Amino acid sequence: MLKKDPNYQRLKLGGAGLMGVSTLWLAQDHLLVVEVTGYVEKYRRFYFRDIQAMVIQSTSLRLWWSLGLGAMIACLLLILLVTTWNSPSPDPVVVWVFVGIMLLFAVPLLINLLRGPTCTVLVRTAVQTQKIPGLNRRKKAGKLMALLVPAISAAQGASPAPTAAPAESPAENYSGPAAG
Amino acid sequence: MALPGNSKLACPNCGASFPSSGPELQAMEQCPACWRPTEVTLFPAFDWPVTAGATAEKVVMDGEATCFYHADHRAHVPCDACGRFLCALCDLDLNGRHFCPQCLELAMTKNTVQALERNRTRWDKVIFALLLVPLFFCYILVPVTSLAALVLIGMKWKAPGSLVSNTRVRFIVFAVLATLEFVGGSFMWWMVLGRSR
Ligand SMILES: [Zn+2]
Ligand SMILES: [Zn+2]
Ligand SMILES: [Zn+2]
Repeated sequence: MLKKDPNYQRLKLGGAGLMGVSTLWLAQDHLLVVEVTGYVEKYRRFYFRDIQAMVIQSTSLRLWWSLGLGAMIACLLLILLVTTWNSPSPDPVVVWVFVGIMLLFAVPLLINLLRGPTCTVLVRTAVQTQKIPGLNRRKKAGKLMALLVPAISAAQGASPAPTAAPAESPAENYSGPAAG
Repeated sequence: MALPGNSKLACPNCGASFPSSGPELQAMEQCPACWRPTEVTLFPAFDWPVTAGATAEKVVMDGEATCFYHADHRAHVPCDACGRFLCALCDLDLNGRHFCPQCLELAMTKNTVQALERNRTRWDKVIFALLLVPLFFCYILVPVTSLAALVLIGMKWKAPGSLVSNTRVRFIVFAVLATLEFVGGSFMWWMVLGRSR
């Protein structure tokens, strides 16, 4: 388990995506994203050495959630007003039931607004570009960048591409049958 | 995978390609096509050339160790799993560990190297569903499904568990629940059959 693994530090930045719930874990040389979808746990590892770029793009997820939840509350309010308009003494039970249902929508609306703007975070390596699942708020993306940028820069240093096989000449390297 | 190295970055929203030069990318504030605010952070690796694969050295002297797969290539490193000598071509580097192609493939299919693992089945969730679903939809099957859950717990006790939640603890709780369900379900059956007799 990662919680007990001293090599991994849990970043409280994951969350629910479209497909499932994901958690982020920081290791010495990579970021591990664990996504639980249905009966499967998926692992994605982003090695600091390989990351070429990170892209954060704003999305309209927060706007759509706010509009949807706001529309529900407005509808309920309208129904309540229409039904109680002409009655001299509206049934308090009906009014409270309506208020209760409206609160059911108002609380997530408030949470959605408080959690701040939404975004998508992409990680690009030489071979592919991948989205970090479950990371969809700018605040969290900012916190992740604050951790990753120094780690990636340190891992990549100023050195150029990883040096391939040592290029010494075979004769120089040869110092008897045990060499290797 | 297999996108060509250093292909252009594209907008995740509209798919339009972003500028290819580093300075332009970093100066970019929004997608040029759909105008979504976009921020690109580049790292040194962005400018690294696509590295050509390592080239293997030919054996120049007799008695030199050679690659297991290429008799004419100089041994470069032994495989960490099977110990076979590998040339620079056959050496697959995995964060400092070296594998031959065969061992790497084996590790990937059998999930023996954690750094290569892509997914695990969450048997605890399967067992939980097996305990919960029949209660609501076909409770007469409860003695059978709870017994199946117990067997599954026994079979998967040693299977690699979840990396994020404690599978063992869940297994123990589910085993208790399955036993209770089995006893309760069997008792229900006994009552029904006893009364019909
Ligand atoms: Zn776009
Ligand atoms: Zn091997
Ligand atoms: Zn070889």
